[in-house]
Amino acid sequence: MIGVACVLFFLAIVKKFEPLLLLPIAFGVLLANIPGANIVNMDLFNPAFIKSLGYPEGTLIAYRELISHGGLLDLLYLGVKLGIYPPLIFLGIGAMTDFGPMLASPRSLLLGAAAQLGIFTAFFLALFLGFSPQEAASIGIIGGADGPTAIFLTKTLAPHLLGPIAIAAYSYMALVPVIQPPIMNLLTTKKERMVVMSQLREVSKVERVVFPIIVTIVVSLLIPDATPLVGMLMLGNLFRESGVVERLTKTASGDMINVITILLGVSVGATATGSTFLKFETIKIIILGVIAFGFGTVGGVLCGKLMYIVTKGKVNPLIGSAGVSAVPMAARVSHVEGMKANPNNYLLMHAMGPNVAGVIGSAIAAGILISLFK
Amino acid sequence: MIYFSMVEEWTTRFATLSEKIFMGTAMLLVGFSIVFIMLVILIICITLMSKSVTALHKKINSTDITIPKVKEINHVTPVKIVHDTILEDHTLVAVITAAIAALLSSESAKSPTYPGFKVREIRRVKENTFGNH
Repeated sequence: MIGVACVLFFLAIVKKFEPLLLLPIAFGVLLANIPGANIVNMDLFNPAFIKSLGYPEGTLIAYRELISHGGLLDLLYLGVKLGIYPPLIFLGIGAMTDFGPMLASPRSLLLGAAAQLGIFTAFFLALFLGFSPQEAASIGIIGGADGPTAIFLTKTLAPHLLGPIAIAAYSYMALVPVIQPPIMNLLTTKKERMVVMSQLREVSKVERVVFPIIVTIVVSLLIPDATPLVGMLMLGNLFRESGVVERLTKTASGDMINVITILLGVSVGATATGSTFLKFETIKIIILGVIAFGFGTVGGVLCGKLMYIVTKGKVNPLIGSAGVSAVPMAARVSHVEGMKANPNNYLLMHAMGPNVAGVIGSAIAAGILISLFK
Repeated sequence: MIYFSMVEEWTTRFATLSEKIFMGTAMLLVGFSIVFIMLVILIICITLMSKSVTALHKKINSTDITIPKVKEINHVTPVKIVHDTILEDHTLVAVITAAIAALLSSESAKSPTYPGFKVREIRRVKENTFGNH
């Protein structure tokens, strides 16, 4: 596992694969696998071990042993186990995200929805490969291309897979520019890729302020399990758009998200021990992760093609691939592929709509999966 | 939810291949459909919100509002110089007037009701015979 940690260091530092998360994850892997360090003991969160200590059925954490014998990463892992870090990361993401392009063209939410095909396809295949429904849901959420969402769902449904799923999710997010273009070119014609879209309308400040409130109310009422993620995302966005809490916006999008990223990365990496990571299941997870990303791109592009037909050529199908919520990388990939077909075509702002819609879509998909399999 | 928890063991240990395919396909269709329905609901909410805001803006812009003209601020006016009581130093008078104008313009002139000012007279005050305190 120390060797695995070194490979992850190489990917993060030299290849620059999502270094903000992969570097702390890699260091967490290293710390957790140094013999005798006792910096982490995942048994304290294992239901079977907790029951053997005499705790009541359903207890998630061996509190007494954690406080008396827990290592540093055991205590930091509480933020993951109790579902604190991912919603706080979403708070920061909301404070950094501009939903204007999506508000200017609400139909981009359909592209965000279509791109979640990858989640359910990977779920289906994982079930077929012998994983339980909870494990299959955790593997499928890799297709949402959203690290905090994947961690939030996996810690609830299949915490023993947290290490490999987090590593797979963040590695594939960095591979979006490699995975997506061949699929986009395969599913679209040159004529479709050359479509120039009309300029987006101006979005008023009132719309930007009311939007996060409406989304929070609607999603929380219909999918309560999505409330922690969607609610914090919209709170951060309301901070940004209201313009009256600049200090809070600056903190949420700056220092706070940086601190939580460090704590989340290190504690998630610490779950990747030899017994949980060096298994055949990890290879299956890695393969299913690629399939999830691929089918997410397929879903988005096919929905884009449908919109191209329905609007009689006004929508460029390439923006559908941006529904995979790796913000802003997937939008940039759509823009670059569009420019390859037509150098005068600027698709970036049009692609940002489906890109940020995908963040909402993947959070809703996670809420649905938690509701069904918790 | 209870149903799916109960089928967990069945899925992993007892289900046949075709049963697994059936369950997986059912989950794929159900989950994907719910995501789509949720986002269609959001599209409807956002569209209604945008139309309401646009209609509200149109209503506000169509109302005639007369904005009262702000009285011009007259900072520089001829000062009556009383030759027998103050210095005959026009430069000093100009500097004093400009300083007063700068102070007042920064504090009050932003108000639409600010009336402006005129320096009517500058006069040297007689010295205090008991000295300065």
